[in-house]
Amino acid sequence: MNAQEPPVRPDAVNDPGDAAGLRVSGLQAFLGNLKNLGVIAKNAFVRHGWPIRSERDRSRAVFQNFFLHIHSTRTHRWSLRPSFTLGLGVMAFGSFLVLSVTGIFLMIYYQAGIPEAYQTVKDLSFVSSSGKYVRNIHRWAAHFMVFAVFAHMTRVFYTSSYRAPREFNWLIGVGLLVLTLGLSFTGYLLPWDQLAFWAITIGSNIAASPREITDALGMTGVFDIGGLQRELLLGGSEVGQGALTRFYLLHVILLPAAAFALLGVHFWRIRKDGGLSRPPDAAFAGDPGVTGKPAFVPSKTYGLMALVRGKTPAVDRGPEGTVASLPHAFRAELAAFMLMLAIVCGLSFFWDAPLKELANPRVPENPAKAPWYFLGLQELVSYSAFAGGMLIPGIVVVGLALIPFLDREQGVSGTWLARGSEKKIFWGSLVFGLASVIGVVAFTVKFGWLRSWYPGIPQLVITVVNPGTLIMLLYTGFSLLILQRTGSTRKGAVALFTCFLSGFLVLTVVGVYFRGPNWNFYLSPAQWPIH
Amino acid sequence: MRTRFYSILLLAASLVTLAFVASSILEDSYFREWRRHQRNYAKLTEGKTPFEPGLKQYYLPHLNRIDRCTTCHTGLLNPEMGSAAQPHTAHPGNYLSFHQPQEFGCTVCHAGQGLATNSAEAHATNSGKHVFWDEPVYSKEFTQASCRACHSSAWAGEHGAPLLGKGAKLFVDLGCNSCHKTGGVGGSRGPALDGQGSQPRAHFPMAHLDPPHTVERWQVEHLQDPQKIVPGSAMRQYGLSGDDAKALAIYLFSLRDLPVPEQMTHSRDTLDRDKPDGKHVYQRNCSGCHGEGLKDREDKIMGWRIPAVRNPEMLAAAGQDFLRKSIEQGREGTPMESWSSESSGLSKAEIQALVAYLYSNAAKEKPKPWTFSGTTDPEEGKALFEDSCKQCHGAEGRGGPKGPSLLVRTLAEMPDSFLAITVRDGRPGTSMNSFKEEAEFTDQEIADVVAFVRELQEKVLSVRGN
Repeated sequence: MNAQEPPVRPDAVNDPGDAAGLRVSGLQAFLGNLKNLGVIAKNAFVRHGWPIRSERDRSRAVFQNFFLHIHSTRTHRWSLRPSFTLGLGVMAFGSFLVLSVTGIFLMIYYQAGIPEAYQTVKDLSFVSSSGKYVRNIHRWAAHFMVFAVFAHMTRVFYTSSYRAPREFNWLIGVGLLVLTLGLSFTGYLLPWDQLAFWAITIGSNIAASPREITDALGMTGVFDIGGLQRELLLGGSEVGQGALTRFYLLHVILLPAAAFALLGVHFWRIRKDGGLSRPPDAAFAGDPGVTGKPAFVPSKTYGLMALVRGKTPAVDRGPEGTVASLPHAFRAELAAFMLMLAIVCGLSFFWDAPLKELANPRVPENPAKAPWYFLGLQELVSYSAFAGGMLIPGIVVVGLALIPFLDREQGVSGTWLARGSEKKIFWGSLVFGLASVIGVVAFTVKFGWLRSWYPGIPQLVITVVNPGTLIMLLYTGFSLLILQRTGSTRKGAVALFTCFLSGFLVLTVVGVYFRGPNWNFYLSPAQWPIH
Repeated sequence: MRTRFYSILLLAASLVTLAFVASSILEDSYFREWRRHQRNYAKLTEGKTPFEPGLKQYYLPHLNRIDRCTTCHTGLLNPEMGSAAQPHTAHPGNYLSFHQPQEFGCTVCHAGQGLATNSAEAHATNSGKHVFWDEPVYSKEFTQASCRACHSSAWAGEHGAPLLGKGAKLFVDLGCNSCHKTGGVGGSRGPALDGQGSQPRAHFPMAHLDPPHTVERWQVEHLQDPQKIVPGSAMRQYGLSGDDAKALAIYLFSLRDLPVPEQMTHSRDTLDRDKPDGKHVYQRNCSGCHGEGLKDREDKIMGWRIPAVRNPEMLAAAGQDFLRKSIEQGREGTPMESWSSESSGLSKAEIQALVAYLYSNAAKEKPKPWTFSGTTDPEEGKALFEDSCKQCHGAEGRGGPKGPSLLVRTLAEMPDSFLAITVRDGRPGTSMNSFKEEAEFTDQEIADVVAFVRELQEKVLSVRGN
């Protein structure tokens, strides 16, 4: 097939001005068109040729399709290794799509009012066809998405895929992480049950926690930033209709729109930054059948060079080591998507999304627990609302965002903990990270903290010196030590990130399994006092 | 590339997804509990009764509820189902001929979660699995509590709700309002009981109740032994039998906020506020602490001696004005609180009727007047007080488990003669002896003691009697 040859149009014979010169009546032409309607419509719809026979057809099918062209036409074999990405990014995006679709179904019934909200969610569970199942899927996909986003970030970090030129995309990723948590948090209130009401009450109290500082400085009366934040969030001084309206708006419009926009940028940057990261010698890295011999050498250079800043990785290289994205990359992505869907559908089949009693401001839940991914945070908040709820998370988010800008080392990216010594640092940091957080929490549980020894101690001291800030200090000190000893910013970063992960893990486990009424420590819920 | 790996993964994951989605749709459309019940019902009736399968509901906007109970309780209105097993049983009695389900629904009487379409969540009785609904379905007898939403308890007691009627009567006879307010009337030593029947389960501490932890059982057991269920409770044991406790608990359940439109109601429990019956007012608001009022009584929980307010001699000596003041102002420093309309909701007319009722028990003959007019010596009085009065009236006359407080404003404002006569003659029927007869006090000694008590009163209350 020649490149200049126009695609064959099967409907061409019915063209009145056809070269064959056959005279056809208007009616015949009409009937002919009617007969070929399917083919004509298909050709109008599919811009590339059909059927797809050659590699070139495959490339065109990707390139000329709006939905597919975010992919490059060819995908590097390295990127398709399951053990490299574990499909986490695709699964995170997949759960976002599932959430969008199920969310729209839920919106058909849901009314964001008091008391309609609770009643419509009840109706969803009890009478709407499969309403309960759709709601379950929404709930589980939300959990899955948070998990997948965290895991995806972990993968990107340990494969050092944030390195230039991908720093900005890492930043977008951090933004998406925050949006994901925001989406989850806002969705939590909507059923207007006890769980929702008290979790959001805690959340809004965290928003008001800068009062710890302003109170200590005696300036709350003049500059009440905490109160202002809470009022902005709730649209009032307590969780009520104002809060429900705001949360609904955030949950169904503002945050999803922002997430879609950032996702677009995120994907576009993956493409522009050279696809998924891979080591320079990836093409020869042992995939059977890959010889490293170029499939063909580009016979033409691109005229866009003057417009494109920097080097785009596709230029100056042949497509060696690559395969056509259609079907290989799409099959892999679809498989990851379906894996996610299978997990979510399975979980939804066996475990229903909870729906507790109607929200009752007079009956506090005890313990009132946030969703699992916020329980590490809630554990910190139990030490100090401001330090645990705003200061530490703020530092963590900023710290995460800064990683690629502070670690400028160039090196192998695209493999897990590329150098042998990084693995050593990882295990060392894991042991230190787990030991120090477990140690500090165990100490606090056993002996209490400043307030239990000196009841009259000013809150400001506790805000600054508490188990949460102590853990943070230990982690920072340890990472600086590693940085100093190894002289490598990457290794310092590995130490800090690993510490962060172990802290997150342990605090979350403590919050989920070991905290009971009044946030007291219990080895199992069976020991909780009966209320 | 790993074509094979991804293909197999894709196939497997798709099949699993398909299987779960199909199962859930199947479950939704064929295997839901209510569908099984409806199929059984069709078998029971052998198709003789026309019945259209599907979700059933009573939509009751005027009661702000939707009841889907008849989705499973299929035979509710079918007289042939009188002896069928649940959930197909016909409704017993002729209740439904007066309360058409289209207008009343089910949960307005039976409680439970009308929205639910499965047995566990509809009944929400919390046996075994925890279900999240604040109003579990009532057990059979407790359903009587609902009658009071539209009927007075007296009427309902005679028309099919005997336990409610009995409970309402017990509530008055035991004088529950002595400590608890209902409708704004009553004491405030205990919590107000309005809305008690619609308190969520979380309101009741279940730690000391043996399972099952239902509010119905909590109420019954708490009424029988308050300290067992709520350690440290300030509520007295009234020695209630199991049946009485249940009747009273049913009445407590009837105290709930149920927005029933006015036109649906039949009769209401009302108090006659303008022409009150003094005896009734006493029974309702005073007898909880004072009992019959003829004998004083030590209350262990209050740690106080509760005076005999219907003691004929006391009444004769004190007079109506003293009674009215004591009731209206209460007695500071003692458990007796103010019963004025501002504090405890008793109207002027009710207090008047109450005073008249109490005073009707006063001794017919007035006590011998007090005529002593010599000089008094409080120091002498102090010695006598330490000797003879302190044991019961406490140091400085603050009162206690054995005798009432003397440092009470109403008492301080009474004339000396009232105190002196009481010391002289004692108070028959109480532990206050006649000191003239038993201890051979002279009039001088009595006057000295009174003078000392006056000093105590003046020191603490800054009020001087005459």
